[in-house]
Amino acid sequence: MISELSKRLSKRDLSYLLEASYKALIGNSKEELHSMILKIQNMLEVNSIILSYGCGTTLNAELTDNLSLGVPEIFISALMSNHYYRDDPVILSSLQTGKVVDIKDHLQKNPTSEILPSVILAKEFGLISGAFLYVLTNSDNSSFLSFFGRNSYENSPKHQHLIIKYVTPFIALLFERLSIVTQQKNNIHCLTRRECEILNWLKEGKSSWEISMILHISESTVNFHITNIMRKLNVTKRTQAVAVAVQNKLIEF
Amino acid sequence: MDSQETGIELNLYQHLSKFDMKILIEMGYLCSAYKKPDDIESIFKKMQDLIPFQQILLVRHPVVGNSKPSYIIRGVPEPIVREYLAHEKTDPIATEILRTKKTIDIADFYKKHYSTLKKNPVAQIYYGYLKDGLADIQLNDRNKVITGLAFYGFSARINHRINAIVQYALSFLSSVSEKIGNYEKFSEKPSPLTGKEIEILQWLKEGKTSWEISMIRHIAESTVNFHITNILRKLHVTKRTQAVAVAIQDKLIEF
Repeated sequence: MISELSKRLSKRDLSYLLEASYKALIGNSKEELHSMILKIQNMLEVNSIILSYGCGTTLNAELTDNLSLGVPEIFISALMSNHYYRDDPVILSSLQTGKVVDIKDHLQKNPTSEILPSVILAKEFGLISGAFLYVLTNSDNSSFLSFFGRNSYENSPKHQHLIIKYVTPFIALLFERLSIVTQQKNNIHCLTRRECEILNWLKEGKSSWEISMILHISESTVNFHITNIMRKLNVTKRTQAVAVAVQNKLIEF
Repeated sequence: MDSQETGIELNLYQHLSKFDMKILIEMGYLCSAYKKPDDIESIFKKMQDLIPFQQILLVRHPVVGNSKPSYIIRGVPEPIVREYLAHEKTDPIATEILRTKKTIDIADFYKKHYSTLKKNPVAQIYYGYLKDGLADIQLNDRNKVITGLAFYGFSARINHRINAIVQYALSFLSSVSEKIGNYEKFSEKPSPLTGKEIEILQWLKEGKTSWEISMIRHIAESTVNFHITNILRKLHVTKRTQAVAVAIQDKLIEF
C-alpha cells in the first residue's frame, strides 16, 4: 500500500516526506513542528489543518493540545469545550477502521450524521471537505487526531490519503514529545524543591514523622508541605499525590 | 521549494535515488506501524535492500533516569554478543564516533589504529569476527538517549548516500527500539496481583480510604485491609503510597 506512494509522487515529494518523518523523530521544538506542518500543507494542498493530542484511547479522550492552521480559533474552542469530538461520526469511523476517512464521502454515505452537533458546527465554519485520521500514539493511552481540510467541494485525491497515512504517526510522535515536555515544565515549576524532596520520601513509604526525622524539621512542617503538594496537584490524599507525581514524572523513580 | 537547505535534506535529494527513498519510506512506515517484535524482521529485510549487511547491532542507551539500555541484535553469535556487552563501555569505535561525529568504516578504523587497539577487549572481538561494516551514533530525545547502530559483514564505503541512509535508519530504528522497550516492560512479567487487588489499588490511587473502598465494593473494611496487606507484601513495600508508586511505575495499574 505504502509502496504506491513512490509510484504516485515525484522524487522531490518523496524527499519532503522522508525529511518530515526524520524531523519528527529527532525534532525538539515547536518551530520544527510548525515548519514541518507547513510543508505538509503545501504538499497536500489543503487550506486548513487541525491536530489534536490528548489522553485516553477511546472517544472519552480528553484532548488537551491543539494546533491548527487556517481554522478560526473559535471553532477549535467550541469543538473542544463541548467535547463534540467524542461523538463525531468521522472520528468514530477512523477509530474503528484505522483508515483515513474522506469527510465528504463519509457524510454522503451516512446522511443521518448530519444532525450531530460536531457536523453542524463544522459546516458553519465551512469545513465540509477533507480527510481525517485517528492514531494511537506510542505511549499506551494517548490519542492523536489529524484533520486536513480543503475549501473546494471535491473529494481528496487518493494518494493524499497515503501521504496522510504515512506522515500522521510521525507528527503524532513529535507532538506527543513536545506536549510532554511542556507539561513537565509546567508541573515542575509549580512544586518547590522541598516539596519534591518530601514527595520522594512519601513515595518511599515514609510517614510524616519519619520524614520529619530525616529532614530535621517538625512533623507539622512536613504536614504543611504535604498539604501544599496536594493543593498544587489538585488531589486529596497522599496516595493520590504520589500517583500523580510518578505518572507525570515529577519525581525520579 | 528552494534547494538552499541545510544538512541532511540537501544530501537526501542529491545523493539518494528514487529507489533509495522508496525503500526508506517503506521502512519508515513499517517502523511507525510497529506492533509486535516479529515486525522488526521485515524492517531489517527492507534495510538490506539499501545496505547489504549480514549482522546488525542496535543499542538504545538512555543517559538520564534508571531505564536500562535496549538492544536489537541479529546474526551475531551469542557468545560474541555476551563478550561485547561485558566490555561495551570500552568500545573504541563508539568513543571515536562520539568524538568525530561521523559515520565510521569499521575495517578502515582498525587498519588505522591497529597498534593502539591490540589490548582492547572489544577490538579483539571485532578482529575475530566483526571486522568490516559501518557504525554510527545519534543523540535522540533532547540528548537524553544515545542510539548506536552498526552494520557488519560487508565492505563499507562511506559516502553521502550511505551517510543519509544511516542517519534515517538510526532515527527510525531508535523509535522502534523504544517501543520494544515498552513492549518488554509490558509482557515480561505477569502481574503478581489478582484482579481484586488491582481494583483496590486503582481506588487507592484515586485517594480513597479503606472505609471508602469498603463502601464502594460492598465489602467489609477489614477485607479491604486484608487485600491491601497482600498487595504490600507482593510488591515488597510497607506503605500504601509506596505501593501506588511501584504499581504505576511497573504498569500494574493504568493511570
